[in-house]
Amino acid sequence: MNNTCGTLLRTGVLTLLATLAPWTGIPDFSLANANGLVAKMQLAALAPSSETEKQREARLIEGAKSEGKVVYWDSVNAKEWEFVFGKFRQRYPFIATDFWRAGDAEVYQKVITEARAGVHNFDLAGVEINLLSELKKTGLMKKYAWPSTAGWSPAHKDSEGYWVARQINCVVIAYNTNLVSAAEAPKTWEDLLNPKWKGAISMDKDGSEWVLLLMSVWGKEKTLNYLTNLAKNNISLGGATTQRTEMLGAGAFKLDLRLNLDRVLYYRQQGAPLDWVRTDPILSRPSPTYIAERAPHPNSAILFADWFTSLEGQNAIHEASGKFLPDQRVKSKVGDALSGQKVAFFPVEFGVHGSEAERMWRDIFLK
Amino acid sequence: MTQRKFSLDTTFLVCIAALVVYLVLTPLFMLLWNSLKTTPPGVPGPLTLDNFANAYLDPTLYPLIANTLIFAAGSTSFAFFFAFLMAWLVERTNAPFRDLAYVIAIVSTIIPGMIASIAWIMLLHPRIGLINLALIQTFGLSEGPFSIHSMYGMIFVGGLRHVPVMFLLLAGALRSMDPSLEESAATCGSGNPTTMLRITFPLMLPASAAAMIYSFINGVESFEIPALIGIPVKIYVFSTKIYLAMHQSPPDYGVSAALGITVLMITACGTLFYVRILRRSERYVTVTGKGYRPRAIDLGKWKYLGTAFLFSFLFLDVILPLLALVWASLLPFYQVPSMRALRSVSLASYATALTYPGVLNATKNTLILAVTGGCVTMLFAAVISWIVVRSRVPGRRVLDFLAFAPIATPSIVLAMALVFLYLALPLPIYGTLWILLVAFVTKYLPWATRNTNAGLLQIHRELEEASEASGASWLQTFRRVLAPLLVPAFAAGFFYIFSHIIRDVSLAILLYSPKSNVLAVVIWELWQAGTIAQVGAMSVVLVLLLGLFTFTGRKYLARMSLS
Repeated sequence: MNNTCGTLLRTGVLTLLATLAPWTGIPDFSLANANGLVAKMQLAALAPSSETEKQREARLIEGAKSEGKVVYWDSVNAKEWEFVFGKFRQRYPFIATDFWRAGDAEVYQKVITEARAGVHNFDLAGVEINLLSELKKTGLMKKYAWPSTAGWSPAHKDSEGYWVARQINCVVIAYNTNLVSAAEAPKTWEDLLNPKWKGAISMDKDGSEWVLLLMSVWGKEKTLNYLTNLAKNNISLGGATTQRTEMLGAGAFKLDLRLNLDRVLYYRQQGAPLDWVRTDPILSRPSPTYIAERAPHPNSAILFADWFTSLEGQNAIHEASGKFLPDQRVKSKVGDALSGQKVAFFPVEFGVHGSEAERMWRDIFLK
Repeated sequence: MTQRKFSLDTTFLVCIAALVVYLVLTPLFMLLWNSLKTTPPGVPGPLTLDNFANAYLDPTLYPLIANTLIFAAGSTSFAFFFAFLMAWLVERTNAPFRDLAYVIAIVSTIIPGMIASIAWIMLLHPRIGLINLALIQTFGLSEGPFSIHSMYGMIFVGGLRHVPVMFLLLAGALRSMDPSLEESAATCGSGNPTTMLRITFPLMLPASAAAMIYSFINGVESFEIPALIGIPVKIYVFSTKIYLAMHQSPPDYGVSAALGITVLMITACGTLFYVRILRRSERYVTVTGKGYRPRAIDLGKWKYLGTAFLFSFLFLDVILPLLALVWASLLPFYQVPSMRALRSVSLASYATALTYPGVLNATKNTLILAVTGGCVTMLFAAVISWIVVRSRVPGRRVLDFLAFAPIATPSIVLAMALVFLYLALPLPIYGTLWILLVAFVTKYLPWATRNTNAGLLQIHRELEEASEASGASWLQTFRRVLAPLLVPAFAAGFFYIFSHIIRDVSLAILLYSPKSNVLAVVIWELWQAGTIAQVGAMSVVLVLLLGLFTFTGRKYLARMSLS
């Protein structure tokens, strides 16, 4: 009875504060924010400093049982991650998984817009490296120790604990072998400036992340010159990497300058006439995942974060997608393909130039 | 007691009128307000013209205006040519199988613009388009002669989408036109082309102009076709530019709003023209009290050409795109036709697409929205129509105008305005199905009120008077006398709204959330990031569903009109 009264009273007070929020001018006083704060306080209050790993997990499981689900938003392949979530649910059958797949820009926009509306619906989400520093400023990312990632490269996790890499994407130039012979294929990024490729190259319509990768290797000046010249070849702007890999395989374009190596290898194995260019270096970037600061299911979020970064979780992701993963104990075809190649891992601190890369991309390719 | 009933009824009607004002004007106010400040929605900031300065001083604005107008005018002209020809063949000639045009109009409307665009990309892509490949192989060409990713491609697909509605408008006008003037011209020695040019065309002017302006407005607000066909080659129109600005990081709300206001002014001008033409159309009245029966023009041996044209159009507009989608849906990954591709044909993509994460939820949401959106809009419209047509309430004409006004608001602009509104208001519907319902009710109010206005005008007032004389309140009269008589108009409007909500992308794309996703947006997302086979499978399923609903709806309406 007391509990019910307490809950009702709390809900009433929070609803009142939330309703008054726009007029009080305190943006944080929305209902979801307030609920998130309460959940956070519950999590903190329940976390004694000297508990063992087992005690910690038991406490999280107890909390997660009452939460019942974890909500994850990302740009990963929905079908592949259905398998990953299945494995997670085998481990924690009392946590339902609620997943939304959209493009990186859509996920970011939804996170920001909903936070502005005082709505916090997700527990974990993916974000592109070029948006990381902007996102950090919003306070929507939770700082966490990510205990399973101790052996990971510092290039694949945030030094402050705001995110870890869900996977490593190796960005390559790929070509259709029916339309371009190995001899004729470009060998370097600069080869793409040759006018013979005019109208024959495709690319993602949201290429700011790729621009940031180039900037991290070449610096701003050289990247700007390169992109300005590249734009003269009338690059065609397509969808995400899976769609463009298929279109390239079908012969819609001769080349694509930014495909994920794992997709190219997958479709090649399926029989698509594709090959990739071994540039020096091969660009690679982490795909960050973070926990929401105001996660509505904080215990389940932590359990999922710990699980997908564990060897069990990493193996599940690899089994589902064949991706190149940050846990080097998991061997992948991408890893084998990269053997002997020079790979440039994206320096995460360079992410602060994300807005600059976005502007450069927009000014050169979208106008 | 009567006084109480009267005040209850009056309160109800005032609430309905207030709701129209709220639904139509508040989003527009928020749009204007956000275009005048540089802070994000919901965050106060000083009023400024910076967004307009940024938008208008950007040299890309002028190609944007040109592209939008060229696309809208081009697709309208394309559609008018084919629609007029079809209408003339059906209503004025003896071409065999001419009623096929009506079948084309119905079947063509079943295919949503997004799915048609995807299908035409598969058919007319310069390198892998099936038509281009066939032409390359037949004529030994070095490259495909057509490119879908061009302004011509956009006009072609946009034009094809406008043909059915334009055909129905023109055929209706031709059917109700007294053919004696054409017959007089024939008697005086005019040939068929001269009669068509000098008599039929001028008499059809108001109907043609109204149909063309309607199509032009649709062209200006069109989103899916320019997005799928134009964005890859950087041909932007207002709707796609707004979409990109809202999806960039961080979103540029201010400039989006300024662009929204600009395109709204264009569509508002078009709508004013449309209304003026409809009002002046009585000057061209040819349906008189005199009985008449159109005389079919004997086309001689040319009549078979007319039939061939209709069959070719059916093949081009409906069968070919569907075949392309079916082909794509049967392959593990997209390939041009070959023996190797044929060997890999299977139905696996249908199983994958139908069990794709989120599809079940999106289907449920789509059906909930389509049913509730159709019912709520029509009920709402019926009450508005009563106020406009039956009451003597001052300001009822304003109410009618407001209910019609959303026709001038492009879907993507309305969606953006609703985002601004519900990010600022303490009404927690952002990210839920409710905001989509609000959007659909607002968007389809003009169509709904036109239906219910016309339906109500056909019901004599004495039925209501008899009910009132028997002591019934307004609500009782409405529920027990008017509503049953309005069922045919209600059903026609309901099916129109229902089928349009199912296919909508441009409203939902800015308003959906993971929990309130809809089927058309799932297909949109799959095209952006999924496999082409899954897109093909899902598109075929959606077209079949829409086909089923359309034919069931039409059968129901036909049975109702007979009874």
